[in-house]
Amino acid sequence: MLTATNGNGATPARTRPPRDARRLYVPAALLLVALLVIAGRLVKLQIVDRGMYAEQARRQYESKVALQAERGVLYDRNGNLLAANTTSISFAADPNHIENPRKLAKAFSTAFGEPYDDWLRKLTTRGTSFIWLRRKVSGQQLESLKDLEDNGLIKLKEPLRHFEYASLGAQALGSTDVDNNGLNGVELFYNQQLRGTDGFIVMQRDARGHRRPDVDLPQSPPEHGDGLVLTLDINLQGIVEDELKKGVDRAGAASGTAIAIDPRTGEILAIASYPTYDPNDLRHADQSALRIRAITDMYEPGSTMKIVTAAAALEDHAVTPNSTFDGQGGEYQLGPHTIRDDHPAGMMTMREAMEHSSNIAFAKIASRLPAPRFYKYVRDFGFGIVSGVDLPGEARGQVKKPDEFVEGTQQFMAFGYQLAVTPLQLVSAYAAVANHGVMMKPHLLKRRLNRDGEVIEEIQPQEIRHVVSRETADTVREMLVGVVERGTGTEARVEGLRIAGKTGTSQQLANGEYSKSKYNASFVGFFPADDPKITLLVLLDSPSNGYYGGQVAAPIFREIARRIAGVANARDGSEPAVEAGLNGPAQQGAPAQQAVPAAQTVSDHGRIQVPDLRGVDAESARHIGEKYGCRMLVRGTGRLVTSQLPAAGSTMVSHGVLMLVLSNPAERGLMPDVRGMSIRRALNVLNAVGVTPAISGSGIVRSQSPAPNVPLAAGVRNAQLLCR
Amino acid sequence: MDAYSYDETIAPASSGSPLRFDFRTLLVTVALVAIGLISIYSATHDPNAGPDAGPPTTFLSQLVFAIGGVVAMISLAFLPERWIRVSSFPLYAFGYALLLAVIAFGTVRYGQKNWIILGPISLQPSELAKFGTLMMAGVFVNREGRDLSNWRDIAIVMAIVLGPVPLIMLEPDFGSATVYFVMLLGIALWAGADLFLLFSIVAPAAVAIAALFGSLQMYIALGVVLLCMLLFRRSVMVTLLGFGLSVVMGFSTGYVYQHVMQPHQRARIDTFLNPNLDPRGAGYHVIQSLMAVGSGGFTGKGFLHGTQTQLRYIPEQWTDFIYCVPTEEFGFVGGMTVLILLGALIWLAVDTASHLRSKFESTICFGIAVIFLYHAAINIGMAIGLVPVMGIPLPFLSKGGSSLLLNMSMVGLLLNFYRFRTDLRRP
Repeated sequence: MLTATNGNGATPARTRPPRDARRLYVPAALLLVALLVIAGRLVKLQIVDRGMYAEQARRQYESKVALQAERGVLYDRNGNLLAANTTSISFAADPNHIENPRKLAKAFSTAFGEPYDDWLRKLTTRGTSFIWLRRKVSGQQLESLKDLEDNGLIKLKEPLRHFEYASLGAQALGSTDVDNNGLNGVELFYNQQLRGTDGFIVMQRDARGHRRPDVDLPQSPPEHGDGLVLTLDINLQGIVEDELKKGVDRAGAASGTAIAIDPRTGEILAIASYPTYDPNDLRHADQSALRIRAITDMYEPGSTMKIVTAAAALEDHAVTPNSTFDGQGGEYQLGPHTIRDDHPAGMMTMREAMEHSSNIAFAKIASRLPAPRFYKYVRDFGFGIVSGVDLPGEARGQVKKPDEFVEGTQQFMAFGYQLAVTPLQLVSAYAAVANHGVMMKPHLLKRRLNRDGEVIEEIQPQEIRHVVSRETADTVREMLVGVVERGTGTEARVEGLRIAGKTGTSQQLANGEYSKSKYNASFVGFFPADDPKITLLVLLDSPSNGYYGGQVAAPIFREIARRIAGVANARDGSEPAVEAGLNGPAQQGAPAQQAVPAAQTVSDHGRIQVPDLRGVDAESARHIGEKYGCRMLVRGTGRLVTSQLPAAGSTMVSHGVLMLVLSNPAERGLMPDVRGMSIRRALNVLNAVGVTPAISGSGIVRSQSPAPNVPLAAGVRNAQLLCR
Repeated sequence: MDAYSYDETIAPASSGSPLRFDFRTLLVTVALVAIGLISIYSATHDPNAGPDAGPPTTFLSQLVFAIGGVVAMISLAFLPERWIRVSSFPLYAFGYALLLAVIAFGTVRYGQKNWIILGPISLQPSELAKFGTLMMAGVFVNREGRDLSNWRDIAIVMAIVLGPVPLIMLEPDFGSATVYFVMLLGIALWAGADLFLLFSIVAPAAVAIAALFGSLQMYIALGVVLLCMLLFRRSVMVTLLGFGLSVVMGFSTGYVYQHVMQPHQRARIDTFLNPNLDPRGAGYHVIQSLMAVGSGGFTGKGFLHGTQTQLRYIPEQWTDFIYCVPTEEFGFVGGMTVLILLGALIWLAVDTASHLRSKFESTICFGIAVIFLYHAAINIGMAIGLVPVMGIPLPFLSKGGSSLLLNMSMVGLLLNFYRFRTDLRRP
């Protein structure tokens, strides 16, 4: 047995089995170890640490894109578009990728006029990958820059607020900053409502930074801002500004303020300051021109204040219009003070005292009232308290309290010294007289509209208080008619129009002393006197060619009144009064292209269903829209209408504004809403914005990706449409 | 002395039988190729392209090669064994010729001159050379009286297997070159080389890797190596000699790292040790790959829904980082499926190798197993951050025509040799 075993093989048998087995163990062990190590690692990565990696990945690929809400537009009371949005291009640079800084610097320097070196420095800034060059470029400058190409040049589409009437109503409307926030005026006061709420869409960002929309990711559509219909009448505003400018120039005044309100409702119809500015060109605006002087500037009103004294004394039966007062030959010693009249007189009735604006008589009238009573009427007429007008920056004015009165205070206040008022406060006081003693709250907002033009809030006129009785108010009114017909205000007379008004001339305080050369000249009044529809104030600051209110302000008042009455004549033909020029829904939606009186015959209360003009070429769209009686506002360049506002099928006031957006594939705007369209039409529309859709199903487009109004980033060239 | 010895009396010779067919290997291979195609499709299709755009060209070209690969695999499976044996030397020589040609006329891709482009055909000669080298080694080992326990034979095998390495290093393709060393070790192991010797060769490599992590790690590795060597119970002299090699290797690693390695190789090692050193540069691949694998979770994000893959965060993902695709889109389940299929294929090859009579066939089967194991372990290790990034594709999954064709041809040989399988495993 042993020998047989030994002799059987050449190799020693003892070593073979264990070693050969080990040879198979080696690959088996290696394979097993590799499998276990890898499987263990997978468990660690994919099960234990999964959350961490998922979060890391999400942070990397998710990209939140803001969807800017569209700022609400502003209309005047007749539906004229005052402020809307257009698109502009903002230029920025990534200096790291700028290829040809010299060429760009040259182009920008040519377009904006700033030195070439400054631009070159900006374009070659180190340590940043984003620097603004110029934001919101439009018009001529954009034309010269829009074809510029450079790897590091970034062009961003940004909305630009456009004020259709340029400087008309500029202070009241206000303006917006580069971020589309209101800076002043209505734009600031109603910023919240106009702004809306920005939405967002979460997109996927790929490795090259391109964004892709994904329907599964959260998104929130923007809530667009409300449209605001203001109480302003842009035609009236145009007349007021035109005449104010002429008057300021004629009188050589530093500035002028005018404000017109409807005494029955408190609606501000026109509010102007001169010098003014163009809100479309803020860069060149003078800061002082931005002030809404009618509410921010206080002054001592002078004789225009006498109606308060008169109304108070009449209401408390301290006087009658025929009570007589001694004018004392123009000089009246009151304690340490001397009160003078410009037109010295002897005995006069209260009516005559008003017509000739006797300070002495009014000082005596005021003396008949106890201080608290007098003070009460001053306050009730709205002095020393804010009116609550919907504009930013309203001043309260300054009125002394009875316990602060010293000898003569009440008498001086009686003819408009020793207190400071704003033009708006004064015009409201006159409006209260015009409105039979009832003061209405002055306001600028008439109604709020949603994006489809439907009314979401109608502002109702608001009574502040009954200041004086109807009898008292009417008595004062008649006195004021006398002022214009026989007194200091004859310069304000207009043939065929009964006007009630009062002049005011006051010395300005300079370094604690009344100036002998600087005056405030004003005229406040209302018309038609028998049924007042407009209360108007004109105030000139420091006129140099004459300084009496009756001399420099009254003519401006007259010209404005004459032209408003003229408008009314042209518009209504038969009715001679201002009647139709101003109020009521009858004029709603009446189109007007310019702020000059233009005869408008169209007037319709009806509402229409908005036609669907998407996918229609610009020419036909205009044609169809006009047939429906819409005012067309066309934005963008291109052949086809890609979106419209209000949306198709919604209702709008006839003669309202229908905005059409034309797109061309080169300038990529927002993703149009093609839902509800036939495939062919959707293809046309998408083609116009340079998007190629992938279509599933057939028939009518039911859903789309990207969602409507998503900005078409440079990378988005494709869309998905689901049809049924 | 070697793995091929067996007792003629208990294991009668069996000729190749067409009835005996390795369906398991075939199925596993087809499954792997299918997963590869799915992954490449996912990594290359354009989500923004319309329905008419058709599948991506990268996918289509891989599909064509996969079909070609099936043809090659089935053809090779039924080729007479003699033809294979005879073609070994010409293939080996042809491989050399191609390697020389690539140095002369090759095209540079990703900094390596390892492509030959002839019109529409582009080919990586190192793939073919690998195949030829394995067959040539098989032929040599099979010759009468060859025995890897003597130094002369060891030297010859080394010369055969490592012959192409200098040419490949010239390209330079460090990753492919390492395959030859591993192949040599595999052949040597299977052909019966001394285990202590093999261990003495492998150990310094392990020590060198440990040294890259730090001195402490190196000393621990040296300790483990010494312990293992003592277990072999060789003479003091031999043990010291073998251990000395590891010690020298450990201490010279620093020098090699500093002065011999090229900057991009150093960067790969640095970022392997700490990918966050350069998250936008050299570490980018690893960080993105880990994010893809990790965020896949247990069941994955779904086919064509992997954010890392679809948003192309991993550049050229369809080549060396293809493993991220199934792991991201099909999660742990997908990752394990690929892993188990590869493991099964490798084990089937080892199993076949251990049941073959012919040294030639057995060596080739084992060599194929070693090549697959090395490729799979390194490639997957790379994708999950266990191994520094080097250009080693994942067999059957990575995009690459010549690689897929050659891998499937190797499976063809496995299928062919399976027919000669004996029923009893060799001792």
